[in-house]
Amino acid sequence: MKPPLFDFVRPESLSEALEILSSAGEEGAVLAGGQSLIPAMNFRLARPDVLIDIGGIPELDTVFEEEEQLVVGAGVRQRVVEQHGLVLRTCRALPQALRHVGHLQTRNRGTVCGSLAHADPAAELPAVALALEAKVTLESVRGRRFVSSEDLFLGAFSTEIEHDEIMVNARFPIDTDSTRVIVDEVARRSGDFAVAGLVLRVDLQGRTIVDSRVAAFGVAPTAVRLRTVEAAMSGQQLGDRMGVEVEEAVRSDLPEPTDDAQADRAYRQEAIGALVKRAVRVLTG
Amino acid sequence: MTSVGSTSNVERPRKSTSEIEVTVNGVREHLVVSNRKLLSDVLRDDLGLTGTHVGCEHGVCGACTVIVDDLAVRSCLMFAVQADGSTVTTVEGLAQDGKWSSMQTAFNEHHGLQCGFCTAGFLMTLSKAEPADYETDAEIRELLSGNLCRCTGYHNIVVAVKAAWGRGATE
Repeated sequence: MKPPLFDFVRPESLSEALEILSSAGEEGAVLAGGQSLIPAMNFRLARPDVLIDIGGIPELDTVFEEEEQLVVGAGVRQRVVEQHGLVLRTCRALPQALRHVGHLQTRNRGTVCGSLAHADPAAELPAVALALEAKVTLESVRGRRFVSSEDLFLGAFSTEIEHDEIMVNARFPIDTDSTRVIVDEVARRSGDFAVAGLVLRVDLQGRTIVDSRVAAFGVAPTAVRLRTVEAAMSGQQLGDRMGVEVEEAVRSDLPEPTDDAQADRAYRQEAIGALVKRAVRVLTG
Repeated sequence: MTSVGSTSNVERPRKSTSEIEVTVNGVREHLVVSNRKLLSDVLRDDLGLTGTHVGCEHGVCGACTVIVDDLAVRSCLMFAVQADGSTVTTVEGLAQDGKWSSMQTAFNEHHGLQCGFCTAGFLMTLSKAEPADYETDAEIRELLSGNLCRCTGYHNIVVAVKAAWGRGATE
């Protein structure tokens, strides 16, 4: 199918984009990478009257460090972030997760912020945002606000972003020397949507996990923190016993994962348990 | 501005079309396109470059892969209007002076294609791959994981790639 007719604009500044988006009411959509929006428009699941291409706005095409955070602008391509020197040095979760995201060809166009704004339940980057407790910056003609990832994701493909707002950047806390991150998933084929996935971020001092954050994706309408698993890991020594304990904690955190044509509840629960155990094994070394 | 493809005097909504300038296979094209047309549609229908194939139209199969501004991308996941000011290479642009690229030759010699529907997409992905980044067969397969082939089972594609890159046939 083809999309219905629409007006296409490519503003040269953020303020221009915000003005156009504001006057479009509910009929405007923001185009960044387009790797999720364009298929949605091709299927007519999204039917904006006005498409606002933000790809030509220089101030959105930046990656920089500010106040202990890695700031990734809305226009920055996933492939750029995956290979970016500053990102590799300061936020290893992103390149690790991006290896699993789509394919090289979609990462050449798709953006990190776009993936967060799209909020696909099976996507890796929202889980990274949750596990790292990242924040996003939303701007409109009415002003600017910061939203935590905890508050950002409301449901499947549904976020806190208002019709007249653009997510201008995402802010990820910088890794410390003791940060370890594992991103892993179960998918039918490399690059396919994850049936179940995990982002595990720990603060490892010697063999002790000082702090642990775990987010699962593909198992619920949004990515979810596994708080019982986190509690089971925090303050504990790495080792085989931890693997068993956290597997039980998974069942407590995910009593009813998504049940669909891809996989049933039991499979997803077991998959997450296995991914957690595998991550612990990798950390144990 | 006249409407796309129309010879009547009826006024159509102007806002749904755009004028673009795009360089395709070295040729600068000036086009008036409907905003809703994908890059794959315009390459095929407006420019007659039907080497780029459309398989799934949602970015998964890779048959539509072309090069835009030096990067391998899905032409079904770009509106043509987004290519304004860009440089595009399609499979028709690989041969030089009527002579196939070494990758095209290798695909031909090593049976890297059967029906050929996916082949243009593979060739374009490979045209931007740095051989030194893909030392093992597993890495080559990972590179090609964004291009689906229903005929060959991929084995001879990998053989062809290694032949083009001057490597031996064994794993």
